[in-house]
Parts: sequence; structure tokens; C-alpha cells
Amino acid sequence: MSDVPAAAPASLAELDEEDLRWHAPSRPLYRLGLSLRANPTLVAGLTLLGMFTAVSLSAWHGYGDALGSLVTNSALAQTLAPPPPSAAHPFGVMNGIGIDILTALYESTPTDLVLVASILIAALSVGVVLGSVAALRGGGVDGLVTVVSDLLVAVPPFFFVMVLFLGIQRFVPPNGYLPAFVGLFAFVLWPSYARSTRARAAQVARSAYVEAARSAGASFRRLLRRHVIPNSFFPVLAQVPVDVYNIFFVLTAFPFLACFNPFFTLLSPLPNGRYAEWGYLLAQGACYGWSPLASINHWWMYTFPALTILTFGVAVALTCDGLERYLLGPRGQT
Amino acid sequence: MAREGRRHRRARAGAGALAILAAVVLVGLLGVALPGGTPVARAADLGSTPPGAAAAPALGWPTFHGSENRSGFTPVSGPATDHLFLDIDPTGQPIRVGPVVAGNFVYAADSLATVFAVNRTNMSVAWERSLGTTPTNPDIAGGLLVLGGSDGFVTALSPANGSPVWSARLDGPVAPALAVVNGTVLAASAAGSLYALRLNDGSVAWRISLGAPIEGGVAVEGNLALVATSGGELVAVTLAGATAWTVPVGAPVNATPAIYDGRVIVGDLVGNVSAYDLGNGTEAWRFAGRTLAAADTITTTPAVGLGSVFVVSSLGEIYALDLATGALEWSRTTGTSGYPVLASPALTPTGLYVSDAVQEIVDLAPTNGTLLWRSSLSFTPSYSSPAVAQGGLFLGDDLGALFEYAPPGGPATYAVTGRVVNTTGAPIAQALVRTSGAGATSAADGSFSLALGNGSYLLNVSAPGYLDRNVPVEVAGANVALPTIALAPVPTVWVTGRVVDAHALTALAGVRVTAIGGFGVITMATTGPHGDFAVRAPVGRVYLTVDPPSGYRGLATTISVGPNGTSGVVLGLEATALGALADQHPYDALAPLIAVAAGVIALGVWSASRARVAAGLGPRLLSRFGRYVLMRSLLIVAQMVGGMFILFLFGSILPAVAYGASPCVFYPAGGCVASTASWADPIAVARAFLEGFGSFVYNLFTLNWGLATYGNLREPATTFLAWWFPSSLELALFALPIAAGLAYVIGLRAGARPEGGVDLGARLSSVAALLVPSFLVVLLFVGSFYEGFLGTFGDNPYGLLPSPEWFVTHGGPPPWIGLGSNTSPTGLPLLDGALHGDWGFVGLVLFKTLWQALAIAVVYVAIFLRFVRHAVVEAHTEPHVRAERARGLDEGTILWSHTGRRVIPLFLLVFGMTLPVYIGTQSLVESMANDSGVGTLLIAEMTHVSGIGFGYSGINPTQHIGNFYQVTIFLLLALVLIGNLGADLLAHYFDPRLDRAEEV
Repeated sequence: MSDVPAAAPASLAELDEEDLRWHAPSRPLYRLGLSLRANPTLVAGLTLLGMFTAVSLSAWHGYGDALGSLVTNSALAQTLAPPPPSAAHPFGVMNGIGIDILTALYESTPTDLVLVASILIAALSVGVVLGSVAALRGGGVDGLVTVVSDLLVAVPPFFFVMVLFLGIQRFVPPNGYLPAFVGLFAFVLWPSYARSTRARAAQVARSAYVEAARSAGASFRRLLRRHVIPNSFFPVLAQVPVDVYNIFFVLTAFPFLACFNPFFTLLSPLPNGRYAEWGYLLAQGACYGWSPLASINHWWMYTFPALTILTFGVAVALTCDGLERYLLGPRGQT
Repeated sequence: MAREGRRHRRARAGAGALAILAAVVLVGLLGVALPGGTPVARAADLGSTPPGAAAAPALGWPTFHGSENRSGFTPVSGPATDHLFLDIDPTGQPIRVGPVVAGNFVYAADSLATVFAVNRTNMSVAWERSLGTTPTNPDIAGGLLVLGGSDGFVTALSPANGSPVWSARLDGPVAPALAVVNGTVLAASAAGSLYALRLNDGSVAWRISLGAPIEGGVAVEGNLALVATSGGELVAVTLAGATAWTVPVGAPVNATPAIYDGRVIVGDLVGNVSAYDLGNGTEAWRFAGRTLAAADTITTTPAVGLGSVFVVSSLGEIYALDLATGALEWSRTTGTSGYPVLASPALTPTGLYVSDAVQEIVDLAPTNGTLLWRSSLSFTPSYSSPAVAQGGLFLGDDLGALFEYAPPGGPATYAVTGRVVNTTGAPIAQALVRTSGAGATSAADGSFSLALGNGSYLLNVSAPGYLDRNVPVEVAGANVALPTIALAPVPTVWVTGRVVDAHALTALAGVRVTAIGGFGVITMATTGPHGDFAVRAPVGRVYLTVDPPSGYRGLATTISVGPNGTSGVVLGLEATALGALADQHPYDALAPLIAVAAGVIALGVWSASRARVAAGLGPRLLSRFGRYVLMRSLLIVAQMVGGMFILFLFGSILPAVAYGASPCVFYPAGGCVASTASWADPIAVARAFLEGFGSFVYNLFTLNWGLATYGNLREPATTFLAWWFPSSLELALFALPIAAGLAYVIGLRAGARPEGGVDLGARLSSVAALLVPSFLVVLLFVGSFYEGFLGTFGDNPYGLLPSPEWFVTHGGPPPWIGLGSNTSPTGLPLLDGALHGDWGFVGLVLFKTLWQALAIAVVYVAIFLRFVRHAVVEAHTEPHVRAERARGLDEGTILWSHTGRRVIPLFLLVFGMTLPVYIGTQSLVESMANDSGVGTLLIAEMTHVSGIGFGYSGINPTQHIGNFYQVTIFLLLALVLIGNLGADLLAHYFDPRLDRAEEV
């Protein structure tokens, strides 16, 4: 389980083979701290995520129970020509609903962080465990996981979540919408993680070190925990940023469509129509601010929410890329 | 309210275009003649103007400045106090045009393109409609609300619901006030043309050029239309389009002239007011406004009546001049020192209403200018000219509020009574008598009574089977008893034909055929022994429906009935596949059972084959590739059934439970009849579920997909798909190669030099395009070229086909474009356009297709790149590539010939994997662009999810399926699974090593 030495280019392929035969290819997570200096991507990603976390803790502390309900200001709502960003409103103002965009984004941070984190953690844990189990067990379990996940990934997450949410919505009180949304989204996303984990875990399960551990009498659970999962989950890291997109897409799309047809309000997982959440803010911004006519195009209304989501997505992407690079060791630095 | 308005402004994004088309289609479909075209009964002594008399102003306020002569005078007094009766904020945007008042409705438009109607009875917004342009003052006449826009379009809307009836394009922005007289719309353009458009369809009757830009509106009196130009000329044009006379005013004019008592009065930009003889244009008098306030201008229309001319100037001077001589009677300023006035004043026998730019409305005594009352509300400028009608004073302000000043309790109402009979004098019961804001039905003796406030109304009297009549009524402080209203029956003609089996062509006897025509004429007939039927129907579009006999599906179709009737209509009914099994519902579960059985058998064969190998009895039955194909094909069936199960459970069963519907008893054709059982009864639930699922699967596989709705179109889902699948396909044929090309080139370039410029750029932009929701990408995309596109092509970039407005200026929609914006013969718009040699159409459609394809590609490539980058990096460092490099091959050749080929199978796999994302992306782009495509339909159909889901549509047995979105998702699933299989097989073909990878 040691670091793979930097290999001479000519024998790289052979070394890889050799390495995969005897060693787990990834490095243990607990050594992460030591290699941060050599991994600026990871440092940047973690720093950004840390900042988001700090912001969300501060907002959490500041808003307390009022978190989520947007602070609206009827004076701003009535502004006819909403002023562009200024010192008083650095990200500008969204009239109509009457919010200072910076404040609203700040208030939304904890909600979004918790939403994204819980969906990803739920989907990742289910997907990685099922994928690894499927690969290690093989046979019927493998077949079942494969068939089910193939089925579930065949419908775009957007439509899928919609169908599921529509089905259960009437059974859930509004304050249960967000937890239900997390559950449904995790249900829709786990198959893609299971698929990529399974593909990798199938190789790992056949590798010599797993065979060695198995012959040394390691239990199935130990094999899974010590060998297969740690060495199989890095392919999902490429998928995670895409799912951050999927999550925000759904969060944004329904409030946005609701601009044109109030029906879509029904499909929004937000418990009420004035909920502090980045996707909702972006949707409202696009709704109120966007116009093909430059004179009434209030660009700041959608640009700043979009940039916030973008920055968060970049933070996740950098962290995932950095982690992947770290886990793969020098070979990851392609 | 503000939010509401903005929604609509955004919702304009192309929806208007389809709405116009749909409205035209609907009007055509129902054969509803526009009120302008129906016989109008004139009540004997009401509303007639004695020839030669001074203009008798209408009691309503249907147009700018009260009437087409723009006098701003109404004989009914307005409010005498500042009591505010109505204060409503319809859209939150400045109201600068209107209001006009007809009956109980007030119409105005905000400066951001939304026209709206406010119902005074319940003080609510009755409808809103976005025009996409800065509107002019509306004019309500002939049953239409007509207004122009700064984009040069004149649009006629239905006053009842705001749906567009027609639009026509002038050669420049439409001047602020257009006039409607004698079924003609007179509209001037800033380009200096005066147009006469026919009120019924917006076609151009005549047009003349006046040589200078026109910034004021059109005033009409008798046979003359008056327009003043910014070139300083006053031009009188006859209603036939000939110039009667032209006189120089002496300075540019940007206000609408006013006509009263044979005089034309106009104020100009140097502050003069001049009066001319209406007959020949000779100058009667001239008043120099600047004698009162230097450097003043007049941009408003004077109010004329009571023998005086009341003028307000932009510096806040108000003066009254003698109509005969032009002598100054009195003058005063607004406010304390004169606030600018941008709105034309309104005049009644007891008050002159002036609203100024600090939003103060003042009521002055017309005789001496004494202040009667004043009211300050929001301290914002008011550009909207006050309207006085029905005892109220209406105006809008720049904060978007619409006010009505009226006495507490509202203006008084009076009884309007009458009687509806047929041509033989027999009373017609249940006839509908409607006018804006009020309505009644006639009693058994044909009598009706309506309560109306002061004003002019057009009563629309209709009864099923009779031609409508429009009866004008003027209420002026007293009850009105109307003369008897006689309705003529709708003339009908014979429609004959046969009902047959669509395939065997055998006659179907005893089948009921229903014909639904215009004017609510519904007739029915049952087919005779030879399948023949004969029904009477009115001329025009007639909707024929057939109630299916057992074993057949229903049919609904629209035919066009000519003045001599129509014969030989053949209605072919499709047999249901399970016709013979009618009423034996357990068989419905056959399809999933067969699928499951096939899966079990396949699994058995597979295990047997494996056992055979294990026992050493011989090789496997199929090659490795063969086994792979077989397994995957079987899996598809299982997956589809699984997918349908999820759709059924979440889309049908759970909503049915949630909405409290009873479990159903199913019929094979798909209808369900609610049983008395409850969801608590496990047997009933099990039966409902099994039968329902069986019916669901059966219907899906037999294309029994029910009806779908889009805009005003309601057609069988299969019709929609037949119309729109080709255009979606055409878009994909553009988008996929663009996406593939971009992904291939960028992916290879990026992978060839990891961390290089291309790689970093691609990764960054892919993250950006990934995280910004695709609809926003589309919006930004459209925003970047919207105005350029409009300028270049004369059409907005929305939709795949040209918008109806574009067709208006290009000779109308060609006959090969059908009801659903579907082209024939192939359905592929570009190909069809080329086949018909319509190159203007092809060019526009090509560019519309290209931008959408590019938008899809941008979003999709971002997702695609994330998945392929590593693979390219790996492929580019493979031993054989390194060997080639060692051999001295140049990097370009290595990249494109070696790595490039090596990654093709992988790209195909990734394509298969991301196919749902692609389809989702295209659906959204289609929907955002308001295309006539399957994606648009899918997203639109989501909004028609009824409480009772798919398979539970028990209301109408011929309407099998409630939720079309389930069908489209099923299709999507099938498409993705089959597409995935195709991509996998191709990848295996390119790279046989993948076969081994499948062996786990």
C-alpha cells in the first residue's frame, strides 16, 4: 500500500500492470494532509468549500429559525427601474419579489449546502456500496443491480424526479418536500454511481491483492471495506460535479417554468414560493431580469445567482479532481 | 401583481406566436364569425348620429380621447369628488396608454408590452396579454381590441380574453392613436404612411405615404381622417384613401388633432393652437400659446366641447379658447407653478380633468377654470390620458396603478331589458345576452334584463342554432327597453358520407355520428345498413365525431363544409387489436406476463447454455457477441416493463389514491369505470392495479395514446407525434453532428496536451456550461442575437418555423403547412420548404434550426467532455501511439489517425450513456424556443397532468389516456434503451475487446 514510485516512461504500462496486480492503486485518505502541498487543485477546491461552509454557518447562526424564508422588502419590490449593483446593494436588487440579491444568496447558502451534500452523500453511499457488492458478489446480485441501474439511468433525471415527486407529493406535507426531494434525487442518482463503481470494482475484485486477502481468510465485509470500496470509488468523482449540475438544474427549472405556468410551482420541492435557495433565486432572476431587449435586461438578477452556483460547482469539481489525483497518486497526474 | 405582469412579459418568448396561430386555428375551427361580420341590429333611436350634426360623442370611452374624433368630450358627467373607487395594480409597470372603457371592462397597456383588461365589477384583472412591443393607445370597436406597437405591428385581440385575432405589420412604428371606423382600422406609421386595414382580418385595404414621419394619431370624423405630420402639415384623407386637402400648420406636430363641430384643432411644437375648417382646410383662427408661457410646446390633444377648446401645454399652462374665434376665455397653471402635462385632458359638461406630471389629477370648472377637486396619489408622472365613462374617471400612472374615481358604491346602474325571439316570433329561452362585464340568459318567454352603468355597449345575443346578433345599447341615466331582438336560424347544409372499417373498408351500421359546427349547432345521425349517414351542419369548419362500436376506436376529425354541403365523407375507424376480447379485462395483463415469460425463458436458455459448457457438453449456443446482443435485447424488454411500472405507480396509482378516486374496472380499450370499492379493499386494489397496469401497458404498445393538448390544439397524441417528430428529428440531425464534431475535435485536442491551453479552456467552459442550467444558456444565447436576428430576418428567433407575423409580410402561410405547424409531405421543414421551392422559408428555418442546434451542442458537449477527457489522455499515451511517435510520425498524424480512431468506440459508449441527457437537453431547448417539437409537447403536457392519471381517465371512455407525459417518457425510455444498445453494439463492432470486458 505504498506510494507508487515515479516510473520511467518506457516501462510505465508494465509498472501499472504490476502495480495493479499487487497493490491497491489508491492511496489512503488519512495521508491526505501530507500531500496537500503538491496538490494545488485540491487546496483550491477545499478552500472554496471551506469558505462556503463558513458562510453557511454564519448564515445559519444569523437567521436561526427564519432560515429559508426570504427577507423581502416592499420598497425594493416596487422599484420600477431596479438599480444595477451599487455600494448599497453590491449584487443589485431584484424587484418584483423585492430582495437584495447578495443578502438572499447569503441566506440561501446553508440550505443549498445541506441539500447538495445530503443528496450526494446518500446517492454516493448507496451507489458505491451497491456497485462494490455487485462486483464482489457477482451472479444474481450483480445482474439485479446492473439491470435496475441501467433502467433508472435511462430517463433524464429532470423528468424522472418530476414523475416521482408528482406521485408522492400529495402524501407529503410541504415542510417534508425538501427531505422527500433529497430521497428521490438520491434514488435517481445512485445508479450512475453504482455503474461506474461496479465497472471499477469488477477489476479490483479480480486483482491479485484481493485474491490474496480472500485466501488469507478475509471476510466479505472486510474485503469490501478494506479493499474494494477504497479502491473503486474514485471513478465516481468525475460524476459528482455533473450531479451538482443535475441538482441545481431541477431546483432552477421548476421555479423558472412556474414563471410561465403556475402548474410547475406544484413540482418545486421548495415548501413555499418565497424560499431562500440559489436555484429559486436564479430562476426568479432569469424570469424578472432577462430580456432579449438590452434596455430592460437586468443582467445582475440572474448573473450573480448563476455565478454563485458556478463557484460552488467549481469548488466541488476542483475538490473532486484534486481528490482523484491524490487517490491515483502520480499516475493520476495525467 | 407586478410579478404576474413580468411573468407574462417573459412568457411572451414565442408563446405569442403560437397563440396567434392557435387563435386563428380555433376561430377557423369553430367557424365563429367575428362580431364585425355578423348582422348588427341597430336599436331604432339609439346611437344614431343625425347627418350634419356636431359629433355626438359616445357614452363610453372606447378609444384615445373618448371617440374617433378625439374631442375628449363626453356628455355624461364624471365624478364630482376625489373619492377613489378602484385602485388596482395590474402589472406593476408604467401605464402610459389607455385606459379605454367598454362596459364593465377597462383596457390599458403598460409600457413593457402587456395589454390587460380590468373587470370593474370585481376589481380584478380579467386577462393580460404580452405583445412584445411598446403599445399604442388601444381602440375597442367592432368586437375587437385593436392596438399598435413600436415594432410596427397592429394587433387585434379579443376583448373577452385577449387572445390575438390578427396582426399586420406597417412600415414603421405605429403612431400612438389608431382609429376604427366602418370596419376599417386607420393607422399611421412613424415612417409617414397612413394605412387602412380591414378590421376582420387585418389585410391592407389601402396605404398612402404622407411624406413626413407621423408621431401623432389619427382622428376621424365623417368621411375624413385627419393626421398631422412632424413635417408640420395637417392632412385630410378620405376613407377611400384619397387626399382631400393638406394645409401647413407652421410647425412640427406630434399630437393627434381633435375634430369638433366642423373644426379641426391642432396644437404644435412651438406652442400654437390652430383651428381649420373640416371641409376644406381653411384656417379659422390661430392662437399663439407662447404669449402665455415662453418656450412652451403642445404635445397633447386639446379637449373640445361646450363651445370651447381646452389646451394644456408641456409647461403646465391650461387655457380655454373660444371654439368659434380662438379668443382666450381663461387660463391657469397646474399645481402652484405649473407642472408639465403629458396627458391630454378630458371634458364633461361639469368638469375638465387634467392629470399632470406629478400625478395630480385636478377637476376644473369648464366655465372659469375654478378648481373643483384635486387628488394626489403616487407622485409619479401620468402619461395616460384620463378617461371618463359611466360616471367614473379612469387613469393609469407610472407606478403601474390604474385608478377609478367614482362616487362611493360605484356608478349607478340601469336596467336594460329586451326579448329574444326567432324569425317566426316564437320566444327563445336560454339565449345568451352578453356584453363586457355583464350577461344574462333569456327566460322561457325570451325576456332578459341586464344591469348596466352609463355608457355604450354592444350586446351580443346568441342561442345555439341561431346566428348571433350584436345590438348596440347606450345607457344615459335611465332604464333602456330594447325592441324585440329576432335571431335568424343558422343556415345548414347536408353533410353525407359513410363510416367504414379503416382497413377492411366494410360498412359499419348503427354508428352514431355527431357534427359540431359554428354557432353551437350540434346534429347527430346514426349510420344506415351501408354505413351511410347524413347530418345537417353549418357552412365552415365542422367537427365530426364518431362514437365507436365495440371493437373500434373513436374518431374525431374536422372537415370543411362548402355552401352546397359536402358529400362523400369517409370516416374510417381503426379496430382495436383486442376487439374480439372485449370485456375480458384479465387478458389485459397479457403483455407484461408475456414479457416476464420471455425473460424467464431466456434466462433458462442462458443457464442451460452455461450448464452445457460447464458439463463439457460442447460450446455455447451463440457466439459471445450473439449472446451479448440477445441478453441486451431481453433486458430492454424487462427494463421497459420496469420503467412502465414506475410510471404507472407514480403517475397513475399514487395520484388516483391521493385525489380520492375509486379503484377502476378496466376495459380493454383503456377506459376505466370507477367501482364502488375503496382503496381499503385489498382485492379491489390488486385488481385495479393489475388491470390498470395491463391496460396501461397494452395501450402503450398499441399506440392507444389518447389525446394531447398544446395551446388550442387538442389532437390524438399520435397525430402530434406524426406532426412533430420529424421536426425534432431534423433538429437532432443538425445538433448531433455539431455536438459530435465539437466534442471530437475539442476532446482530442485537449487530451493530446493535458493541462495545455485547450484542455484548461475546455474544462473550465465545460464546468461553466454544466453548472449554468441549460435554459439559462439558451436565454443568454437568444439574448445575444435577438435584435440582430429580428433585424436580419424580420422575424424573432423563436420556433422552428417562421412566426405568423413573418408570414403576414410574406404572402401568408403556404398551404403545405398544416394545422399543427407541420409541413408536408415529409414533415421535415427544411426538406419540405426546398421541395416547394420556398427559399425564403428555407433560409429562415435553416438559421432558426442552426442556432438551436448550436445551443443544444454547447450544453451537451460540456457534459460529454467531462466523460471523455481521461480516455483521450489514456489513448494518447498507449504503447502503440508511443511507438509511432518513436518512429518519428508527426504529432498531427498521430493525434488524428491513431488516437482519433482509438477513441471512437469510447465516444460511442459515452454517447449511449449520455443519450438521456442529450434528449433532455434537446427537449428543453425546443421548449424554450417554443418549437413545434416533441420536446415542447412533453414539457407542455406535464402541465396537463390530471389528478387522475394514465389509465384512470374514466370520464370519457373514448379518451383512454389522461397523462400524455407518461407516453413521452415511455418513448424516451424506449429511445434511450434502444439507442444505448445501438451505441454499445457499434462500440463492440469497433473494439471487440469490449466483449471480454462484459465477461465478469
